[in-house]
Amino acid sequence: MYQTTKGNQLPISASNNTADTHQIVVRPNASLTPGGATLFFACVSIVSLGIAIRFTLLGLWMILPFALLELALLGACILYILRRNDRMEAIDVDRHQLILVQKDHGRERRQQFQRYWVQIIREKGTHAWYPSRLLLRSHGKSVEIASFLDEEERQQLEQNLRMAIAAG
Amino acid sequence: MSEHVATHDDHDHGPEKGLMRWVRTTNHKDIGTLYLLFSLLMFLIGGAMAMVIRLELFQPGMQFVDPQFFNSMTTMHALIMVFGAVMPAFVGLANWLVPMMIGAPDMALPRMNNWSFWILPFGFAMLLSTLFMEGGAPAAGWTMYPPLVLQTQDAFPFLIFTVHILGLSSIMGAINIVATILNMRAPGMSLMKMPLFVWTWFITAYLLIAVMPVFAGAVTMLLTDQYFGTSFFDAAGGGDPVLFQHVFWFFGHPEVYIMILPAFGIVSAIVPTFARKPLFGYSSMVYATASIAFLSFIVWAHHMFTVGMPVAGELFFMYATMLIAVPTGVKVFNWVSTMWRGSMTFETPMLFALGFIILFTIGGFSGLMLAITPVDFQYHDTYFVVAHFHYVLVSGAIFSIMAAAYYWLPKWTGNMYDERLGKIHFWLSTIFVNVLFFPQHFLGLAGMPRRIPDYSLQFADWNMVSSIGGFAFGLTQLLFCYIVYKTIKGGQKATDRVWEGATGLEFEKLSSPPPYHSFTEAPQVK
Repeated sequence: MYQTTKGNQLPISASNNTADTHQIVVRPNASLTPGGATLFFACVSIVSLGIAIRFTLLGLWMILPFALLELALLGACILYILRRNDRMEAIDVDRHQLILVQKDHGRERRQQFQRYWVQIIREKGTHAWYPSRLLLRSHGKSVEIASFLDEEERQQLEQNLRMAIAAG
Repeated sequence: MSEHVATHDDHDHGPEKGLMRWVRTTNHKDIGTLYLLFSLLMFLIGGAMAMVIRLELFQPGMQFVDPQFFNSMTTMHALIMVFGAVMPAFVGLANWLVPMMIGAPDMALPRMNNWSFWILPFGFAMLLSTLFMEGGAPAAGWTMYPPLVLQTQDAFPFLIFTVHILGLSSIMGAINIVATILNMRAPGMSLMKMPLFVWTWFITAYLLIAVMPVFAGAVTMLLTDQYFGTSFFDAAGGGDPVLFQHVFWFFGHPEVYIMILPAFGIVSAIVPTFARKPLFGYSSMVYATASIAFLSFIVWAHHMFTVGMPVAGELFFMYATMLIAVPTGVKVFNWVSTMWRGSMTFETPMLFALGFIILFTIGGFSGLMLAITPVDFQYHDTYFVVAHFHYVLVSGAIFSIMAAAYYWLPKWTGNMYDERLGKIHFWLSTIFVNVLFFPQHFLGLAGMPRRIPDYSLQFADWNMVSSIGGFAFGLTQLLFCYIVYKTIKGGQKATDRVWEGATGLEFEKLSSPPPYHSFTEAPQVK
């Protein structure tokens, strides 16, 4: 349904907006494609491992574990970033309902709320690093959205969402 | 139950209040400030050690400190200046500038950014604590050559652990910068549109990631040789102490470029602004930086021509080293071409950038002299080498950091610095850095060895001149601290663009000072 597009997408974008319908798509800002990440990791790995293996052959084997540890850290960071890039949330607001589609690492989850009952709630985060959480809540059901945005982007989304729900 | 913390009108989410803001912050501007202030503190501590060195060398004979402590001072001065002052200053600049230059709201991995900084003070506290240990602080030189370094007493494991901590901090910082540059660029900001400071840091980060495991492995093998009975570098057990020198310099030479490539980026930002012309040869600058980075991997043995090497090896490393002059020359000629027929003005950042270009080139020329193998046999381990690398690192790297501080301080604080004091700082620094280091060329050519607390009488005059330059240069840097303090506290308000000829997202799209969270909407780059 929704494509998780890559390459310099704006974090929050609105489209298909008419008087009655609004669509807001939220995705992390990402200029790194999986191909680019693989190429970069390969370039680093070839050089780092090449150096470490050469020294190992000279008897200095202790460089290799450090190179492997460092590449593991680099790889984990790149994977984390790619996973974060892969996330996308689309919020469709029409005259009667709000449809939330959350796509995370290939899995798509679709939820429906009644427009007149849905509440937008900003809760205090669990840590100073997560100053707040943004939730959609209705009829006892509560879903966190935009957890991958930074605080300022989350505040902007909240404002856009309130305007979309209030409009029409 | 959860608490509703803000209404939808509350959009100015600023920093946390109090001291804990600085401990828990993940904001790139806060962490950049922490790095820069920490590096200034380390610059003063390392500088104080340099004053001890110059005080002892003011006259021949032993005056103030014993030889062991003198050697500790040279070792600690180098370790603190390299790993505590220059590198964290460049990481601080990267933290402040890279996200703003590429249109990103923050670094890609903000929490790791917090850890990268906060392990540094612990590392340096541990290193400085060795001054009070049995046997004193490490005294075998920052190069830590065995078997001499294995004579270090209680301080030895602390030295190794410190190196690991600093290495970990550098690696995390480098990964973060790479991830930010690759993933957080604003729409339209292609690689070849990135400011050169971003490019030079990208290549620097690549170098750091490539060579840090080598250093970590090398020092760990020193540790196991000392405490676990291995013989990696112990000739008695079948090891080879010269191999350590190869390993160290395989790391050490790229490390030298790690300390100068971001300086090239800074100067490439400042010169076009005050020449009011676009940078001449942007693409060639990028390729020259990449070439220097590549060459840095194949020139390490020029640091050790005298250890005994096949002639073919000496020739290879001599010619490879000389090759570096080509891309470096491209850069210098590009800066000069940028200034050619420009509408030049000479504010403090430009003065420091010009000082960098001239004095770094002098350091580059003495480097070329050192690259000539037969000549190096005379220069090796003399004050000529000390003069060379201080021209590259002080009037090179540190001048570029000063230039960057004056150039971007109005953007960071919203206040203009005191131009008159800035110019006084520049002229005093430039005069005294030459009084300090130029005579060391003469001392080295006359045969004065480095790392000695006493010397023959024929070296007395130039050592006295050098020491006077050293004291004056050191005192002048206190003026820099005052200028920075004064600018942070207030002053004439800076405009958003700050400099008439300034370009780039940080000047064109952000206020002075920039908001705590910048680029909440990604700017479009044309």
